[in-house]
Amino acid sequence: MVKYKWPILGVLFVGFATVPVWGSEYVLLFCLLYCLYLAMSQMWNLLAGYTSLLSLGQQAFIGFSGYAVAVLTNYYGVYIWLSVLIGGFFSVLLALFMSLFIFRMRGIYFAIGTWIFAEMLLLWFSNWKYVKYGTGLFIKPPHPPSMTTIYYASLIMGAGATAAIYIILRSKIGLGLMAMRDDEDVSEAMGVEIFRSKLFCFMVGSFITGLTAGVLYVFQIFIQPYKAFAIDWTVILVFIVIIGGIGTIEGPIVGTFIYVLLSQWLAEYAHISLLLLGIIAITIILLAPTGIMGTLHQKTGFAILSPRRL
Amino acid sequence: MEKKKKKKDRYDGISRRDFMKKGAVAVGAAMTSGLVLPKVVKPARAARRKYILIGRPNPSTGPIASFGEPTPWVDERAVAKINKDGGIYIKEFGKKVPVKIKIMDTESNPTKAGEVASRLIVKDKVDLMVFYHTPDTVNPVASICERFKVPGISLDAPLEPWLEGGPYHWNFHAFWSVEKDIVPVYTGMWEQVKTNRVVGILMANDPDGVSWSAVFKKLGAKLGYKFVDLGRFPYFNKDFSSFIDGWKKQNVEILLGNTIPPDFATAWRQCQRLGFRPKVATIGKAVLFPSAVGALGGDLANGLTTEVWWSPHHPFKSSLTGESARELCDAWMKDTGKEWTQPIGYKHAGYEIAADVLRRAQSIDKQTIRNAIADTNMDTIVGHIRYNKEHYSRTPLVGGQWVKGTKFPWELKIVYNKEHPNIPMTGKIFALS
Amino acid sequence: MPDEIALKVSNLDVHYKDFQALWNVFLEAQKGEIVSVIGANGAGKSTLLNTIAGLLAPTQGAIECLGEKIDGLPPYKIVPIGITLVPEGRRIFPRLTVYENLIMGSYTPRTRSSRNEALKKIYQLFPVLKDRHNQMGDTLSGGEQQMLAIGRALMSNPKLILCDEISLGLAPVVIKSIYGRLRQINQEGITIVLVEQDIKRSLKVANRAYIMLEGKMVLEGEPSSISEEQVRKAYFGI
Repeated sequence: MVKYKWPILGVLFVGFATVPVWGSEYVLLFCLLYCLYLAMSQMWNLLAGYTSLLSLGQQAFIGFSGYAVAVLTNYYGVYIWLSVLIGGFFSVLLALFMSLFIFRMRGIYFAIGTWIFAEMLLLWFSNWKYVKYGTGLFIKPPHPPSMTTIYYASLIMGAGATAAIYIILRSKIGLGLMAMRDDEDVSEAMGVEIFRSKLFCFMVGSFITGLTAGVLYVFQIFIQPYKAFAIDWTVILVFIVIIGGIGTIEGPIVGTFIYVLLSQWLAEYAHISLLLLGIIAITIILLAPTGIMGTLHQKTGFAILSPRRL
Repeated sequence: MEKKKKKKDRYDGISRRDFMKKGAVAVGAAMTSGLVLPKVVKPARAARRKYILIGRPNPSTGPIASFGEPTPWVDERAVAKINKDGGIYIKEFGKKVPVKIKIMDTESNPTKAGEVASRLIVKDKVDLMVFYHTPDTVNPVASICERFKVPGISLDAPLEPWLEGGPYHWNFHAFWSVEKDIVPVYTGMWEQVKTNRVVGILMANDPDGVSWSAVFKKLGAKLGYKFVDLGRFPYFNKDFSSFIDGWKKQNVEILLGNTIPPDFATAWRQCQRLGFRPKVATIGKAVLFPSAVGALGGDLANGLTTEVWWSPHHPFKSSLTGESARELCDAWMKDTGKEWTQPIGYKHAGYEIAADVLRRAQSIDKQTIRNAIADTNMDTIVGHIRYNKEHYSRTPLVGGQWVKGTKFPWELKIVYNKEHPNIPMTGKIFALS
Repeated sequence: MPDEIALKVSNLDVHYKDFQALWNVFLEAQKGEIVSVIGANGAGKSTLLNTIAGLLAPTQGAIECLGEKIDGLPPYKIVPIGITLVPEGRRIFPRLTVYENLIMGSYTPRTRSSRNEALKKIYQLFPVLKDRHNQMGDTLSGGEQQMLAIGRALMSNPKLILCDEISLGLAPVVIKSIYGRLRQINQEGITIVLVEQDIKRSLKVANRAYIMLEGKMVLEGEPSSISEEQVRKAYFGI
């Protein structure tokens, strides 16, 4: 299996890249959502899984960057994809600003700190006349991009985020990140610059999450602060990463597939959808305590995207 | 050392050059399969069903679920009626085909609503989208309909936020406006009670609270009202004493609110305890549903006023079933044992419009359906529907007051109808103190 | 140069927030020595090692290593100078392979260049690590993990290693073997500071010993000059 890693990944990627050719519109939609959630969950995985930055505030980047896209396209007529890119940079700026306050905090304090930031942004945007308070904004570029274009943008995000994690983990600092995941204090004693590594990951995470959110809102069209900055986003990402396997690259790949499939399937069972989602999550965690890929890896050593060097 | 070990490792490491080589082979192989695959997969999805499919994103769970509550009761009933004689004649099929609906939950979440609408369009291939209930449902679904060029009929969300998403090509909407309808109805009710025209504002920090307070202050001042606005408050605020003190000090006699039900309950109870008794209390959203009114407890609901967009007293008939508003409400109460709510009429009206449109279009071609919607000119159970060039149709709004009821603990009486005198008054407004 | 000073700690105070853990602590290790620090649980031995390794910042005092002032420096600057820590409880990285664990020892840029020679040496010293180089850290036995932790510390070509409770929870025969390797390491000129609960064993290998009590150094001397009574006093305060 592992021997065929590159052919398998190649087939997968080309399969995804040719969805507009072979897939139905629904397959395209499914893959689009898959890629977007994959990119965002990979980033949460990078933070929580490797650097123990337990962020509960990913929605801060999602909403902030989504609003940046809306404001830039609507008020300034910026080309839609350029505004997505700028949105990503705005997200990094936000992350830098946030880090001034929350990087002194650890563990649960950091988690709550990020969440509070997201809540503050929610209050700010819902009270800000410029973005029409809580009414929300429509992202209406003069020439709305087609679904195929949006799909490719999201494919770039999904594949790009996965590749980015892989490259980071294979790079010089990658081993340090994995060591941090296993034991932060000892990795520090070995000479890992914890603060810088964390900051780096936080920046990367905010950038890719921001870009992805930009694409997401180009797809969504309508953005409204109460949901853009809602903790729901992070809850979804946590769900994906935990059931897939935290601290593995394959985890979010599998977890996202399960989540998107479930959310599509459960939407038809309106009143019990959340209940079912909860039961499924608990079952998976009971059967595979370190997530599907984490447990598979422990039991069989299977890891197709292992960042192992040697 | 590292290189020598590589071959027998469990983890298959790979050098950069190797990667390029293997990667190129893989991409090549996959390209070929990618090109062959479509021919195999495509024909499988050609077969077309023999019915008309209407997509119905609905807030079945979450904070606005009480709006979505009459689904699927209203929907199934209306569809059964449409399909009674075999459905609607469609040219493409050369015969009458039934209408089917597919309801999906938006969880009261606009993001989810967008996803659900996309899925209804691309997976279920709906011919028409019918959707309702607050901007959180209507705005995202309308946007998605525009993107995929699917005709959409929407109702029950204030016009102003809906218009933000325009100009629309595929969407048509019907409801009232905050500026043109809510303000005249509210102030019209206040005019009937002798007050000092000092209004205290109780509005949450949410889209409605923010926009309503702004609109009222702008237009109300021209009508000679003085507003005491002590600011927006967050959801689930527990202490309103500073608001109440402020109103008492400034001698407020009219309370104007727009809050979620639990917040109004807290505030209103504290008003009683602290001895603040305005002459009129007109509250949006919080006292829309009988369940919320009953939850206030005691006699607290007595005399509260609010907007009424639909009631059994509305003198309209369903074009679909011939039922009057009263008969529709009675059927609801008989089947569910619950008191009528305002969304029932609007939900029903959506199917009236859809059926009328499809009968005129006689087609499942989206452009034809869209044009048929544009030409709509009909009486429904919520009033006359005729879309203007901005694609909306204003529906009538009157004022109501909650009083102790006979059949149910609290009943809503129509006490103001100046703009729409065809909707009969069923009571006379009385002052709270 | 047997008299060159490898490590000199003087007047060291360390606080955890409001709690003072070390009071005016001093310690000296000549180059090539094995220095043993003994004391009861909570005497501040680990705090001392963690402060030298740069994980804790002293509130007062000085630490010098081979003439360089290192107090207050972060570990990533201290490791290249030549001090590494074998942490208490081994603390190998469980989800990294043995090889990766070792590589982590030479994580800092300045120690990377000599990585391969260091690796070769360590595999000679602990052949079992070579056999298991591709196994996950958490699949090793306790003794193997301890070897890995020592090997990891040696990867940066240190001049001084700080060993914290390396016999904790290991079988006597394993301890014996590990102490044998420690001597071997020491013979290559690496200074070792040893913190141990196992007083007898650590006094046996040490050139010099310190006794700590409640965050203070109470005694310093040749192991042979330290009487059992003094030890007992240090441990039980009587």
